[in-house]
Amino acid sequence: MKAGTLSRRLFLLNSLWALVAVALIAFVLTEAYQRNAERRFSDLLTANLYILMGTVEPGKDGILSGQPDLRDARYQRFGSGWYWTVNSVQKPENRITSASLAGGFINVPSGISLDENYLRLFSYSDDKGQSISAVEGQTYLGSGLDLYSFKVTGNKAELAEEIATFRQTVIALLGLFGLGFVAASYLIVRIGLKPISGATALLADIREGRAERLEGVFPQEIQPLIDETNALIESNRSVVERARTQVGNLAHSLKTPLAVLKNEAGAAPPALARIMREQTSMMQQQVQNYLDRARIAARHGTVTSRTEVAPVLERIVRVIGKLNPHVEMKIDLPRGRNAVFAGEQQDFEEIMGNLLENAARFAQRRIRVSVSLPSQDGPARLQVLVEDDGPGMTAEECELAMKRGTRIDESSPGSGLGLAIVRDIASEYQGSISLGKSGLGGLGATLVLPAR
Amino acid sequence: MRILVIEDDKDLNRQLVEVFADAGYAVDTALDGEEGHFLGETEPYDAVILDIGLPSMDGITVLENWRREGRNMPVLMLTARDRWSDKVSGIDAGADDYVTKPFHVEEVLARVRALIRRAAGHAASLIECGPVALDTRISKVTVDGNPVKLTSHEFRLLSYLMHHQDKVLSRTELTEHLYDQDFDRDSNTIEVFVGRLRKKLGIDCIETVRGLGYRLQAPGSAGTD
Repeated sequence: MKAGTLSRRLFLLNSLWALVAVALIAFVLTEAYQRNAERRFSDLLTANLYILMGTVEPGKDGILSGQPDLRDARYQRFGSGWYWTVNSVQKPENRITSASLAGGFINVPSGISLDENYLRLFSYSDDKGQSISAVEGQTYLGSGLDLYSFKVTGNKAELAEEIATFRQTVIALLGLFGLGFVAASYLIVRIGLKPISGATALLADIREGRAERLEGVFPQEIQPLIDETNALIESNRSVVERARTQVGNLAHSLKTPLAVLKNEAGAAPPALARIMREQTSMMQQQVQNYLDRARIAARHGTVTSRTEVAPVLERIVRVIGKLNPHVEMKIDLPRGRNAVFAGEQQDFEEIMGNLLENAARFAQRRIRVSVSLPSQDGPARLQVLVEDDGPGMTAEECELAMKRGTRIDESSPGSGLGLAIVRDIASEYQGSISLGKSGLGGLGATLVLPAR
Repeated sequence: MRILVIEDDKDLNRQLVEVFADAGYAVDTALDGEEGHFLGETEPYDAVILDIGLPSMDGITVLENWRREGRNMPVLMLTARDRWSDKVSGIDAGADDYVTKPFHVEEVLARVRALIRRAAGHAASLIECGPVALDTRISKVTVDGNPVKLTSHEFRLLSYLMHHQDKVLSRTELTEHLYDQDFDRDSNTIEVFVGRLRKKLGIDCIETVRGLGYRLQAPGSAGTD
């Protein structure tokens, strides 16, 4: 995911939320568990204290005895941290202890007083350095004048361990859940935003001329955006089209005054005539430049266009035939295959019109147009060979003819731009034009263009 | 030979009229489509020069109307649009040739001459009738290679006869192709011009067909009637 994308933003927000939520849940859960565990711990100690108080009492001799059943093996294991003692407060040597304490003592830190129930909770470190939690209760037993102290302890480390285990489990499970959530949100973003990246690809297609508009079915949320984009593209196109038409109109409207000036130059004094001729031909060149540019600009973004070769050829041949009734024209089309030029009809008309006009200008009696679709690797190609039976051209003349504005035969009418225009248009389509000998004896022009 | 120039730019129109008048043509002119259409519909022209972009009725429509009405005089189209699609639509509408602007009026003259020749069935620019030769490119007449000096009316008459050799042409037809529309016509003057032509050519090639008109034939070739 690239920086600054919508996907990234959604993904990061989702992930951040997952992180915060998981951390919060982990905290709350372990906190609650810890509190619960601590209460259970102290409840257990208190319960054991009462069992102790209920089962240990001084005999007639005043000696403490009793076998409290705490149902916990830990009170039997030496140094487990789970201890109990009962002793007389006045005579501390009168005492019994749990097996785990083995005659040791439970040290009460100073400064902790008993509450109104004669109970106190405290912590200390035992001989092994373990952190011990203890509860002590004091009560009068026997004759009622002897105060006895009952103490029960538990190992805090076990509590901490239990809580730690829980915390680890919670973190592991929630971590897994969080990772799953992040992965899911990645997929959701990817799949959910797929129509957008689809639309982006389509827009790129439009920009690069592979498509004219955004086609396809989009989710309701982005359909309005798609529709608006299409409308924008359309309006943009019509603005450009209008501007182009106006450039064309302007350029064409200048041609009449140019004709007038050119002709008037003949009647003007020589110095003025020269200036008029120079300036008008410069203006004419400018006009042509802008018309050419408008034509090229019009083609940008219409790579999808296709032009049937046969109808265009027939039309041009009909026109050239009418203008040159002495020339017999023949079209050879590929048998059984439909030749389609991958480009604008106007461009193909321009190319064929100029080629055939040139051929007709020099032909004695015959012109032959042969269309073929050579099979080869790479993109499909269309080859058009225009042959005439005229005088033909030398290699130097062929080269010269391709240069803009040069005319080989000055006596023949025409602007002399024909072949240069053909070459320009062909090269705009990555096509080519080459001149050589024809099978009919005159010039043969071989045109190669992209086909569909 | 009589032609019609339909061009809305006054200066270009004038330039065209001048070059054709200088070349010996009777020239009518119109500045808009409707007037031009009317003239082409009612007057017999040997050729029409028609601009495509015209006020009131565009050139293509004018041309299509004429062709629909059976008017089949040669038409040279003047167009600022040099795309082939424009040329194709002009030719399809019935134009016989086109010239794109900006042009030299001499080119238009050359194209019109070729059109008139072609319409009359002559491929070469030199039209001959026995020893009489008419070079349409330079508007020169020779007899046995010797140039003959003719007035513009005499030239027009001979040119029309040369283009329509071996056909009987009525006085009215000749008059119509000799004068532009503003001229005060008198068909009797045809006789005068024929007389002068016979004298200047010095050979008997213009035959009077009684009650019908005149016929140009190479001397020595037998009449068909």
